[in-house]
Amino acid sequence: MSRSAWANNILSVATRACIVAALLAALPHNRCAAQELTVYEMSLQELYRAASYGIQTRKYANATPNLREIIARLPDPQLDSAIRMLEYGMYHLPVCHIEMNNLDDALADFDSYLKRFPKGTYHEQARILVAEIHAAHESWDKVVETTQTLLNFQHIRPSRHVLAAYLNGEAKFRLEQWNKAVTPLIYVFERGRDPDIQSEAAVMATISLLRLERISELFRFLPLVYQTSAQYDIELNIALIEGGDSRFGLGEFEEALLLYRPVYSKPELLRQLGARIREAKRKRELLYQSGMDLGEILSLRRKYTRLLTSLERQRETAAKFPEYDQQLVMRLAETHRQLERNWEAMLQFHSIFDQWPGHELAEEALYLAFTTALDLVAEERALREGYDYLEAFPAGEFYELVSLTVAQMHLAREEWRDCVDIGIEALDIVPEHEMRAQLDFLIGYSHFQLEELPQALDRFGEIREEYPQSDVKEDADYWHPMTHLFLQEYLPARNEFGEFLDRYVESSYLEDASYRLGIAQYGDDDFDAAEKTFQQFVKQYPESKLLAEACCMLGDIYASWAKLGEAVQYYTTGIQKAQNVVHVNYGTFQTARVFELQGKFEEIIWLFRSYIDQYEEVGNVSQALYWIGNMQIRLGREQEGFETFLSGIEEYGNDPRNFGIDMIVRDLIADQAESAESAKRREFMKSLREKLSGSRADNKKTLELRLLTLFAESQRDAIQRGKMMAVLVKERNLEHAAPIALLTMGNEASSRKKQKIAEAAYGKLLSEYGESDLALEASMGLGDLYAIQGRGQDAIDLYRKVISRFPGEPRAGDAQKRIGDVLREQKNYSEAVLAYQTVLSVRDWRGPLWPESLYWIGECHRQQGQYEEAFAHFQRIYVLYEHYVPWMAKGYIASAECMEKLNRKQDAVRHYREMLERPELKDTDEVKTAAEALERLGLDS
Amino acid sequence: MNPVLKELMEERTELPIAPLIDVVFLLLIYFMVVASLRPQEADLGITLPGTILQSRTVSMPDEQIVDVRKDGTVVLNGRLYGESHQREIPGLAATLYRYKQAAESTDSKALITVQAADEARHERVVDVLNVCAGVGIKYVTFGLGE
Repeated sequence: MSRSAWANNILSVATRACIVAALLAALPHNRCAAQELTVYEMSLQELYRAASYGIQTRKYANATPNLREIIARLPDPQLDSAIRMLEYGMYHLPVCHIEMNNLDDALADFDSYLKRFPKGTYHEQARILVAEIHAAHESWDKVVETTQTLLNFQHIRPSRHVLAAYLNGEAKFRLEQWNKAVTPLIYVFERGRDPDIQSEAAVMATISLLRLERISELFRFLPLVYQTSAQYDIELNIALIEGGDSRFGLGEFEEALLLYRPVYSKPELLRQLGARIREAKRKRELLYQSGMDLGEILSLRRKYTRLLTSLERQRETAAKFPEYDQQLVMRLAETHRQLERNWEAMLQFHSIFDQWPGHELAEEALYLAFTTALDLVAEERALREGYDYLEAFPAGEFYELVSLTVAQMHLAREEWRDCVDIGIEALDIVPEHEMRAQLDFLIGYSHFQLEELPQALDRFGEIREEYPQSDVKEDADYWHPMTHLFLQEYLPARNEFGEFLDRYVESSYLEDASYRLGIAQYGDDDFDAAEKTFQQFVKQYPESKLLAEACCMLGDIYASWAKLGEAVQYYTTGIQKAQNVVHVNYGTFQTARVFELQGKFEEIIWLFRSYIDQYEEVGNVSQALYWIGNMQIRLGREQEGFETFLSGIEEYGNDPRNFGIDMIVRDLIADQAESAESAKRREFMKSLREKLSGSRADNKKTLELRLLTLFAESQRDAIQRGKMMAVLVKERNLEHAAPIALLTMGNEASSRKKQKIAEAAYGKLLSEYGESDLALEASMGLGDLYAIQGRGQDAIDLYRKVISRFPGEPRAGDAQKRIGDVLREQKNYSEAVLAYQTVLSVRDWRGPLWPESLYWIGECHRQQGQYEEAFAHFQRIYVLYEHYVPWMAKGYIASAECMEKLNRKQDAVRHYREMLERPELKDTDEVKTAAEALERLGLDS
Repeated sequence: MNPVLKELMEERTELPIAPLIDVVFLLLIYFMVVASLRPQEADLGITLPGTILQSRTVSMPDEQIVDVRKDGTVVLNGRLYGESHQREIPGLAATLYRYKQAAESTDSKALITVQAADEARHERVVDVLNVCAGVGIKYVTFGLGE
């Protein structure tokens, strides 16, 4: 429905009813009995009474002949009474026409009346009714003309003046003469008594002011409007939205907000209209109990009926009006955003999605809530909005943008796993993601940070191959070799870094790539090339943050070439150019290692004394003391060395993060285990006891637990050791224990089958002190504990972490072997064999792990009834691993048992006999087994 | 003969073997040609207490590495073999002989990696090769010294 059509519907009908009712209410209330006579037989008085009675009783058709006869009989009256009678007739005849809806007749008769009585008794009413008829015909110019004439009169009755002004204002409003309409309409609003007329005048005045953009005037007027029922007028509300839009378009956001804000939602309007309808009905029903006379009751009843009709019509119109609430909230939110009131904007955008999730605006609103939260730097909220969007609109217009942004946010927050998850999910949902290359990069980078290097390599590789034009191609070209580097795949790393440097001469990665190239060459054992690269780097980037590292790398290269003097010079430069204490530490400790190779133990002591002086607050002082003490011992100053250790423990041992103290304690434990009983040892134990007591007195709990660990482990007497360990292995000690105490607690609790404490001790060490050298042992201990508890997969996961984190450590081989053990215990023999074969494939893990692994491979075959394969492995042990006597013995027995299983008793006997002949096996338990077997087989040894 | 090689041989210098694999290889060819093998080591009569002929090849993942140290001692899987002042290494021969027997029964190759220290004498490497040849092990490779 168009604005004018709709408005006409409401205003014209409601107003018409009011005006006519108001005028008719002014008619005389004389009662007159109906006459049986014809009009021609009736006197003027009788005609008047009959006409008056017809009008009163609303029998207008009856009244009309009487009125015509009155007019006919008085063509030119001279007496006042006759003139009044004629005027009565001429006025009431068109009134009856109106009542009978004969508007054209009414208009003609009013015209006659006004010509005859231009200032007659009824001229004001007549003019208003004429204007009303013109209004019904939408002849607005004539309405203006008629009402303007009336308004020009001086002494018009106020109520009629209001009616005339209303019609005048409405006509001008309809003619879109906004400027001229405002004055009469505001006058009606201020002076009118009929709430409906007031309300409609307010609506039209508001709209006129909006059209005129007389905004300041409007803002003064609106509060008054909102004290009336006009506030619930739907046209007013829509006009305010349009006015707000206009101000928004002009960049007048404050004004737009003031116009949008008072607008009622459609449900609220309907609710208010419903409430008013119920109230009007209630009042109308109560009229008969009010004690008023019938005339007043009928009058008020008509009023309420008119009001109800008007309200019902408004409600009907409002109900049919298209939904605008979402648009309104959207506009409010957008205005708030323009005003940088982003919190309100965000909440309003989100409320659209919350209230109308299926509405066409919901998607855009939620996207805007997300971007507004980003503007607010409200990251948590933005992530929630982003995830809401991604979940609700997987096929949405902004899905790709939101998913990329969310992934970027996770990356910036170093939430690597979340970044990977959302990135992969987005690519699953939108395989043709427009920003696939960027997402691939974010996923790859997160994988890299998670040390999931093969996955990272795949992602960077995909960008390089599939999206060579992408803006992240350069990033991928850098991170791809970087990942190779971390995978220790040095050859492809150096090749790709070389290509990168050739291709991207202006890259921001240039400096880093130059340095990484050197690292890759170093890893590829091409020290010559690495040295050249680092030398060039030092020359080219003298201010680089990587300069210290490059110098240290040069130090490492020269050290490997046994050019120890040059190496120390480079380490010294590295320390001088250090960006942080890590660089200082590396250079200093590497220098110490070179000095150690050179036998310069005094220099080492001097080096670390200087280091402690300079970096006591931030340096690794405990590790420095560890070096100093060791060097003093190697120089033969054992007592001085032990004093350095003990004073170091005492001074720095109360901080659990001083890992060097743990190394000192560990070495002292090993030293005490090897030392003979002597006065020196007794002195050491006495000193230890005193320091332990001192730490207790000073309430230095961490120090006390470290000393208790050392004291307990240094005990020769098992009972004494057991008692002290019992004091150490307490749950309450976990809180303050340093890594060495935690490891000892874990190991001791495991052996005492106190699995809960053991797990807690290992767990705390790994979670809080993961960078300690003792973390490896704790991982192994915890893995063993999991294996005992039947938590095979947890154990395997932990062992794999050990292998990944400490690949060069012999314990990594042990961890690999234990993976095989767990799988074997799970009777997963094929996987177990693969795990053991891995142990056997690594040269660095040669030693007792190899015969043991061979034995367990054989055992896996034997458990599956594959005795021939089992035998091959068992035999290999006693043939090739004679140095490892326990395993050789087991190999013999297992080989013989396989022979027995295969019914080859003579071969079995030969195995038992050969075994018994080997002197190196005579102390093993298996010898007894072999002798018993021979006896069982009917042959003694 | 290449004068450099001749000089090296005569001086019995402590040439680092690891970076000079190619040179060592040439030397070995020379020794192979000039040295008389000692086949008697294959006649030690040390046999296994029993073997099982496998119906299919059983592949063994462990690499058998014979380390030749700079002092002339020879190590296989942690066990020291031979005296540095004696050319013969009978213990190693016995072990490798049994190894070969075991390998044959599993239908696999008896493979030896000789890994000499940088400072080890080439002559000692040749002694190990002699043992391998003596027991009939044909597959010998060289690894880098540690």
